[in-house]
Amino acid sequence: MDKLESIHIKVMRLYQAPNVPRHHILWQMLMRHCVAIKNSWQSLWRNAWTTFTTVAALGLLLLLALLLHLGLQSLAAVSDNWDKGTRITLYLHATANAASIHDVLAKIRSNSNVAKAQYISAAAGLRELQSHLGQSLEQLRANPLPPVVIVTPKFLPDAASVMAVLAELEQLPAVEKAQLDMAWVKRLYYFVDLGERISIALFVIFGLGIILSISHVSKKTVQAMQQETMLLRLFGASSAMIRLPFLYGGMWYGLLSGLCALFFTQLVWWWISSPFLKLIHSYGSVAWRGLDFITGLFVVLCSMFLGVLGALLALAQHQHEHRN
Amino acid sequence: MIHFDTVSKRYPSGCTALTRVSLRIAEGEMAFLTGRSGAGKSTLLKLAAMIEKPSLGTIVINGKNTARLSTSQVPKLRQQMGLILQQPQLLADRTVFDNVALPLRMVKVTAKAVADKVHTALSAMDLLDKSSLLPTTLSSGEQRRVEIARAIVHQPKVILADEPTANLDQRTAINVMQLFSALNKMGITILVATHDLFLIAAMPYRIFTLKKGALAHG
Repeated sequence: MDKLESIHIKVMRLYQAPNVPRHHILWQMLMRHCVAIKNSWQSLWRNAWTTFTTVAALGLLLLLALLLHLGLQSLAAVSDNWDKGTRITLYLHATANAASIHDVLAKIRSNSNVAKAQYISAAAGLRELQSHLGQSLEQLRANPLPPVVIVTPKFLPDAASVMAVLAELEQLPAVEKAQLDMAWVKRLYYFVDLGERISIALFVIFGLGIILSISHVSKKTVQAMQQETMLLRLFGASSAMIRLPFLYGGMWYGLLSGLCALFFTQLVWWWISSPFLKLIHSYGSVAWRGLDFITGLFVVLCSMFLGVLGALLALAQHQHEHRN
Repeated sequence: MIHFDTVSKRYPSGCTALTRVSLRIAEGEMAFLTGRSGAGKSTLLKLAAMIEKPSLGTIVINGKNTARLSTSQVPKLRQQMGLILQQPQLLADRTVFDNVALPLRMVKVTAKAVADKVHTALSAMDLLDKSSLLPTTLSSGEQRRVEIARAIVHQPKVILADEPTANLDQRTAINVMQLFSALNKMGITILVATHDLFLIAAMPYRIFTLKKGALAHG
């Protein structure tokens, strides 16, 4: 009888324990999210080695995408410098007189696409040539060089624009021939364009890779926590509540992978920065400092988003399998 | 209140677990469900817990028709229930404390309140000194008591217990039944499935007997 009374008292204590006053719904939601964040982190921590290897693998995947992006960024910086160095050489008629040369120079300089035009007379050209070749040119009876105008165009976005300026200048009356290494310029633009497309394609492929990898890991987590999930459901957890820790788990994977990728990028940058900077300086490019804060933040946010997508995919797949 | 109105359950495999079962357990009543193994006791409890859906008939729990509940209403009704499943379902990698605290995740309580409630529930089961242990280090009887503590920790209005005294010695089994009695005296509706007729014979509660899926006595 004493035992029964003792149990009765304990049960009464349990049922008479005050329930916590109902908080505002926003506060409840916030608390629920905090608990889900904590639980998902603990779940990752419980499987520290799996988490570490997954995050490192995803970090390397992101690193490849990041390196490609940074490589293109540096190529763009160098090509920008090459753009500035693009020159069009206008060979004038050898018979062109001073008035017509003056006219053509005025027309070239008034062209809105021209940044600079430098006139080199036939005599000046020969003098410069003699300074390089010495006395050997003294045997020439007449100056074979035509007067030349070196035109520096303003920055033009693509090869077609450069071609248009070239065609325009070639039409000028005293111009015999306009010359530009168009194949080289075209190749450069094609290369940058191709690089951009490859970069976008690889970003999409790596993004899908990250989603699938996180989805796979999340599915393993969902399977490992199946018993807990089943019990929570039995004790009245809603689907949203059950999903939440897994979604945060995906977010953690994304966040850690993003940070891991940034760390790897810094490591690679530390290793290659010295020869790389020397190389781009040799092309006259401005100093390039590697990964900037905004790009880093963007990478981390993107990987977090991809992580959540991966977890969503795993949950949808799990739900589908169990429905069937 | 638990009300089954001509409920039948037929599994996709073709096996009929329950045939036109009608029973009514009033609010604050305690009742036993007996029958031989395979009689349909667990199926009936699963239907009451909304783990399974009936093929035919109506089930009303706490005034709510379970067939008409929306997806969001089912969890709310389940929060008012305490479940003890036939197969032990304790999380092996969590302590006894964490296992018992599981239903409190759905209830908005502070960490201190969780600790108080879990300790009180464990105390009622004489397991207070085991709270920091893993379930795998406990005997099967102790594991069963942990499950019972988990079923009552969130102060449910309805308790559904499937063979709660399985694996328990006679004395502990009597204690568990006394616990249910004490809970019932506080107005909790309790339905206990058991095949231990000797244990319930002396108890002043209604007994429903299932035979091959049909209600034979009640």
